[in-house]
Amino acid sequence: MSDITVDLTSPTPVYEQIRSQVAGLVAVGALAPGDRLPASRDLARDLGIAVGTVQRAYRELEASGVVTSRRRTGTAVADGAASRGQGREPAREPLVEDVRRLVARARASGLDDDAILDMVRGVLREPYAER
Amino acid sequence: MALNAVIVGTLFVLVPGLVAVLVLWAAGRRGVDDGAAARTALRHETWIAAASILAAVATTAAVLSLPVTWSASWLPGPKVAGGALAVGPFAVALVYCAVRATGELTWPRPRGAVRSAPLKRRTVRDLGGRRLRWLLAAAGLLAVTLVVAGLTATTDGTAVPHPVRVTADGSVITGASGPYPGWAYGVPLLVGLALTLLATAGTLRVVARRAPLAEVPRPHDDAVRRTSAARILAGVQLCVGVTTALLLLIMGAALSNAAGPVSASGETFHTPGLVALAVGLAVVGIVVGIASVVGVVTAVVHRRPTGPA
Repeated sequence: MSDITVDLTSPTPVYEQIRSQVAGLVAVGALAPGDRLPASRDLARDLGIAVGTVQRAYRELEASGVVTSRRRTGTAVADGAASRGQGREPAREPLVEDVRRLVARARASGLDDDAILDMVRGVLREPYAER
Repeated sequence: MALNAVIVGTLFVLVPGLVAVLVLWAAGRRGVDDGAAARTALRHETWIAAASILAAVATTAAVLSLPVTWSASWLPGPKVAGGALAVGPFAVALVYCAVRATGELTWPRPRGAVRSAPLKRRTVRDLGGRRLRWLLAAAGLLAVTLVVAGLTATTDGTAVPHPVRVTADGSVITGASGPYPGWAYGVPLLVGLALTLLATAGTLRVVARRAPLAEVPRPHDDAVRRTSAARILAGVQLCVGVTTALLLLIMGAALSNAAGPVSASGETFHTPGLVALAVGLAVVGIVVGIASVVGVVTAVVHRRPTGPA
């Protein structure tokens, strides 16, 4: 079962923590298209935070195509959410394994998760020859 | 005399209540090391269960102390004999659910800077599982029985009419046997059943919506939730099952009397079909009653955690 963890003292807004974790779970296949997320009210109650915070996270996820919201069925992972933003269907599982190995190596070398993310963001911003 | 009644009444509530608490406490002590936080959660669930059982037992004692027939016209309540006693099990179920739901609100809320929650919907249907289906089936059986009894009872709703028998000399033999759960009992019982099912659904909803317990591994938290749901459904099932069982036995007894034999003008009349129906109703009633008791026994034990911690 996938869990969401939020740190109320983090400089990252809580809604962004939720958004990024859900997006990450979809990207690695832990959440599949069609999987229903808890109602915003229920998730807010479970985390002890305001309902509006969860609703904002869900709105941003819907805006980026990760989830869809319907009145009767609630919020669910959108079809093709993992492959969004790419021109073709990726061979996702081998990529996910590569990322897992990268994270394991980085952690073994003493980097914490924030440092790993900083490194990934830095690489993403480098001039990229092929897209 | 009054003091003796108070003492007996108190013992009638305390003794079963203490037995129930001891049984729950013993069931909570397993040889598995669940961790301190999980054990604390189990203890809290045991206290909530004990409080709801004590309230149910006290309500049972209060119901049993009601007069069989209300003698004063100004007294509120059903005017048929045993009317208040008939709906008593639903009063017990409502009190049980109310205390249970109140207890569920005493679980600690999320606290601390770092909080986590599962990304999984929790529904009453998932939480209730097989027990919820059994309860709905029992409730359906009770509702159908009450409607059939209401349609087949006499106009005052307290007896079942005998088959009309005509002797050789033209005499007509009629009669009625009671008690029988006609509309005089059926309507209050149907209302009580509906209220009980609503209260059960509401209490299960409170359990489903409870926030995950901090520092308790997720599988253990789910196990506590499933234990709570199982005990709620078992308690309500017992009330519905006992009502159904008694109803069917009373119907069977009345139908058996209506079957005869009845003698008049040198002739004897007997309706074997009614006897068979009476026996069938009694058997079903006994099965439902036993199954309800078994459901309570199996709900005593805490559910085991499933899945990785």
